[in-house]
Amino acid sequence: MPFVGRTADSLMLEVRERVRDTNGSMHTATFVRSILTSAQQVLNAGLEYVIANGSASLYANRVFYDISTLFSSVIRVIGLRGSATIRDVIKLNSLDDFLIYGPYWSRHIGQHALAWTAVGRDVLAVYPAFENDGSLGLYYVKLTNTFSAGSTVSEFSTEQCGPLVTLTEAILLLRQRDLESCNRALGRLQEDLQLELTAPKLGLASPPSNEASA
Amino acid sequence: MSKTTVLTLVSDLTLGAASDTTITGRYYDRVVEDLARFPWLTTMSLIPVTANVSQYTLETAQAKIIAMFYDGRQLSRLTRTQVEGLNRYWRNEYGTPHSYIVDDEANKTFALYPIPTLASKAQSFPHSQPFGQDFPAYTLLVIHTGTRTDLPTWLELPVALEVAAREMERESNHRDLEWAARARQLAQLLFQLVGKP
Repeated sequence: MPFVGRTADSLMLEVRERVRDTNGSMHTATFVRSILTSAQQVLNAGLEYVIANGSASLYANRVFYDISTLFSSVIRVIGLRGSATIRDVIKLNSLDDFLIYGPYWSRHIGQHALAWTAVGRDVLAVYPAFENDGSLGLYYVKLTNTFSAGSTVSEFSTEQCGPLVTLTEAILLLRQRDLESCNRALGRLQEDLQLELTAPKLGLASPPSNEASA
Repeated sequence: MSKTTVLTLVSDLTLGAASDTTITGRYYDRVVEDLARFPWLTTMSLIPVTANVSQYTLETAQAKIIAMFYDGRQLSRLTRTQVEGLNRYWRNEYGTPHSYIVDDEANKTFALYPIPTLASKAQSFPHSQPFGQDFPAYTLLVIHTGTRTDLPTWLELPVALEVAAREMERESNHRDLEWAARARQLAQLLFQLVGKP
């Protein structure tokens, strides 16, 4: 199924109807677009809807990487794939799991990556270090784009835009000090997100339909 | 994400009520410090070792130790009770460190056990690869959380909401506790969402 997103104008229209500001007297189009942008980015950080992939350059004798130096728009790394082996590299839960390779695991050298883990959002450990410079396929949750114009299309697909509209609605209601309605929107958002949080995650083998390429 | 962008958003969200950037800037700094308690925003640092010195201190911007390596060996984290159980005279034991003990979390000091007898090699990085082929021998590599001025863009909204909540609940001529409570609820919901494992 081809990816279908929603334009900023269509999202804005729905949000403005919900907050009873259809003529934009309370919230300018620029402000609403900036909130839609931030909302899509923070929701994607948690819900991991928009996934991208690319080839990351790795260096000889190096196990630890600052993820932001590999790709600038990474929110969270979710998978690595060997460039030569075309196999998924095993994800370990924490650095302590690497101790199965011995306490000096960070010094080991090999031809192919066997395991990886992320420490927080910013540090990536790939085991073992490569003998020579090389590369790995990296799958990651990406930082979604800015809604720079009314015609900009969301990176969330149409059916994923519910929480985006509700979060933007809650923020605009807060801004216009309609706290009772804000509270109701917050309740709906909480319900939406709890549903999303308990939903099973799609694996790398079946990426979401709107998978983007880096 | 710059601090200025967030403070502008705070002012926008409060319709100008929270426009004193000296005050909101201070709240922003506190929120950044609070975030450093969580293992989300992490970084790596090299700490040179001095021969026969066991105690080291993290720098101001370095907050919480997640893992530590000495010359490529992953060190175990021990409590004082554990290390005393291993060796009552641990503070006088010399050798190659295999563990570290956080002496004082507030002052960010930690001790290596046993005490290293070799000093780190020169911290020079001809290939610009301090964590790779230029890694100086007998040096500590610490992975830690920290405070930073350039928070990632996706944290902009929850941080702005939290800063706005703190500003609006402060005693002032624009104090609005109900508004602050809603803003905080939204911020917490978003932090909870992005903080899940």
